[in-house]
Amino acid sequence: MNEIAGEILAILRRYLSEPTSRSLLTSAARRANVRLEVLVRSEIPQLVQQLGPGLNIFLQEPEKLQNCKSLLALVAVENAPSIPTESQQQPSEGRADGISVPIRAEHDVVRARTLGKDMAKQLGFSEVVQTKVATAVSELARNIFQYAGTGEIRIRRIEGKRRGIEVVARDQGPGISDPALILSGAYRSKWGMGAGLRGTKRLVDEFELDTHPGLGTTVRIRKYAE
Amino acid sequence: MVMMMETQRIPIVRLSGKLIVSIQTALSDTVVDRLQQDVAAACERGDARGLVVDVSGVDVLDSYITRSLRDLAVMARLMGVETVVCGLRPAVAMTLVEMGMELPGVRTALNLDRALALLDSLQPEGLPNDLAGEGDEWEGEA
Ligand SMILES: Nc1ncnc2c1ncn2[C@@H]1O[C@H](COP(=O)(O)OP(=O)(O)O)[C@@H](O)[C@H]1O
Ligand SMILES: [Mg+2]
Repeated sequence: MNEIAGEILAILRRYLSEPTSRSLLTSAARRANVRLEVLVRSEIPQLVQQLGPGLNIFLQEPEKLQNCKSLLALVAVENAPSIPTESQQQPSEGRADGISVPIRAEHDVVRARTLGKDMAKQLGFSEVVQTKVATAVSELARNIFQYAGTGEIRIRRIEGKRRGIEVVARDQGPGISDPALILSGAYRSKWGMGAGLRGTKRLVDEFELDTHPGLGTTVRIRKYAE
Repeated sequence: MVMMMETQRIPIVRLSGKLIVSIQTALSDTVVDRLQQDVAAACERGDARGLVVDVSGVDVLDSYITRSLRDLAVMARLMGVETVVCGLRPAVAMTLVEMGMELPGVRTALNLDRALALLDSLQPEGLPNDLAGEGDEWEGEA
């Protein structure tokens, strides 16, 4: 990340945690088709534009959201040449109601977990619910990394009568051959305690495991505000 | 982009015969694994009687990290060093209980002061051997 990207990160950091700021910035850069290592001033407007959806999710207090956007707009106006740039890509992630975290490396597990917690916090959930969501995300993300290598975690808010959070963990790894055994608690594993999925199920309100040997695994969980 | 936490290392402070570890960072598996190694090395020096692991800065403990902490305590005990985990946040504790993953056999205290006092009150000899007895549920394949 170069100095110019650092400026933008510094603004985000005033309102959001470090991992969340980095995560939003990285995914916005991907959508804006710019590289943070070599970001130039003229690319700032398109980057800031792509930051919008993520900020809407994480900064729900209108005042903070407004402040943060104003600061970013300021950077863009001050520094950009007057050539208007049109956005180059359709947003592929960070849709209005959710965010996607690719799991490819170990620190992605930490990032997913932190995002899950931040999102639950922004939605006004209690500390206990935040922690349960973050722990569940951590288990699912780690399983992707450990057993499938790569995959994706999607986190979105559920609107409506019951407010909540939905997490979908998806990979195309080896799948689980005996999910019933694992959820029964009779299973012991080398890595952890075989308590990851079972524990996750106990932490959430809805739990769906869809796995096909050789094809992959999808776990969908939902947690509602208490 | 390189994340800061990749290179982070949790410091081990030596204080009048005790080792004090205060975790103030997001715990990646690498950080946890390295902590285990560093604690083992510190215990090997032989001049420490007790170890305090302060987890008040930890906002998520999942099954892997919990098991690692428990392993760390078992390892330290085998090397003659008693471990007390302190500062477990209420939300974290509640989550662990709900998942069915308490810390069996690991002494816990409310805060650092109490953890240090607890260590002082422990006699080097004749400790209840609770780690050995209660570990079964936590073992992987033996
Ligand atoms: N995404 C996944 N892909 C393939 N296998 C998985 C996946 N998640 C879990 N598993 C299998 O299910 C077992 C139980 O997982 P889990 O309950 O998280 O416990 P642990 O990870 O501690 O073994 C794992 O040991 C692994 O064999
Ligand atoms: Mg697991």
